[in-house]
Amino acid sequence: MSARTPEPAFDAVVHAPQRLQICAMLERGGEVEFGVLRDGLQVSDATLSKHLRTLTEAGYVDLRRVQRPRGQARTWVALTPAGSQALRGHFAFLQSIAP
Amino acid sequence: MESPSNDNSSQPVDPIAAFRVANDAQARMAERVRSPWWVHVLRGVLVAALVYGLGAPDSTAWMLLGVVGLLALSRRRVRDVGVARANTERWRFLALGAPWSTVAMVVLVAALAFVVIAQDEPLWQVLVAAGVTGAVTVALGPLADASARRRLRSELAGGTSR
Repeated sequence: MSARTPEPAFDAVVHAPQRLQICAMLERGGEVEFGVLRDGLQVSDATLSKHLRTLTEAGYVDLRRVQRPRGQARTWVALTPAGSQALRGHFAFLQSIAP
Repeated sequence: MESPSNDNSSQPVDPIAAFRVANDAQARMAERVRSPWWVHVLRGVLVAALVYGLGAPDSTAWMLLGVVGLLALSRRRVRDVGVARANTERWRFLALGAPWSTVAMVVLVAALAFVVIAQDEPLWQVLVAAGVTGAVTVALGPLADASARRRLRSELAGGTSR
């Protein structure tokens, strides 16, 4: 199956609404900063961290920590190829059952 | 107000609601692709410096200022916007900001080619080329940002997922 026509596949990890939003933002935005995701979802740091941990354990996102010369580090988040494939498959599944 | 942590993967599948949720998230992210006015002005000045530095005699410092300044400004914008793909990563910003980003790039390349080819021409021609290129960059920057926001908002509905 090519990347353009993913196999429809329900993905329980991606299906949770806030993780679906995270994956959708990463799919379009490329690498996205932690604070952008937090503001986009309107959740706390802890809540977003929990979702990112779930996605990381599934192998769907990569985290890149950048230490700034002054102040705290910033974390950048990106979908892995496996995450992108899972999201596209999940969207294809949703599309296949849409009325 | 903070949304509750919605971690429930076993809730019923509603494709319409799922697409709406994903689209809304992308729309909120797209709103961040917006630079303050001074970024556009500074970019125009740096582009003009680059063109002038390449075309005017004994002006390598201006060219270096343009190159280093544009790189630094780009990195700063990535950091501020927080969305890498809307910026210089892999030239995606050109596709996202089209047609305005493409027009600005074509004008810049044409100006650089002109000042390189017309090296023996009067200085005023180099100044005009630098000024016009800088002005075009300033004018088209906000339009390119608007195009990028529109694309980031709409690609889920019109792109790979539907």
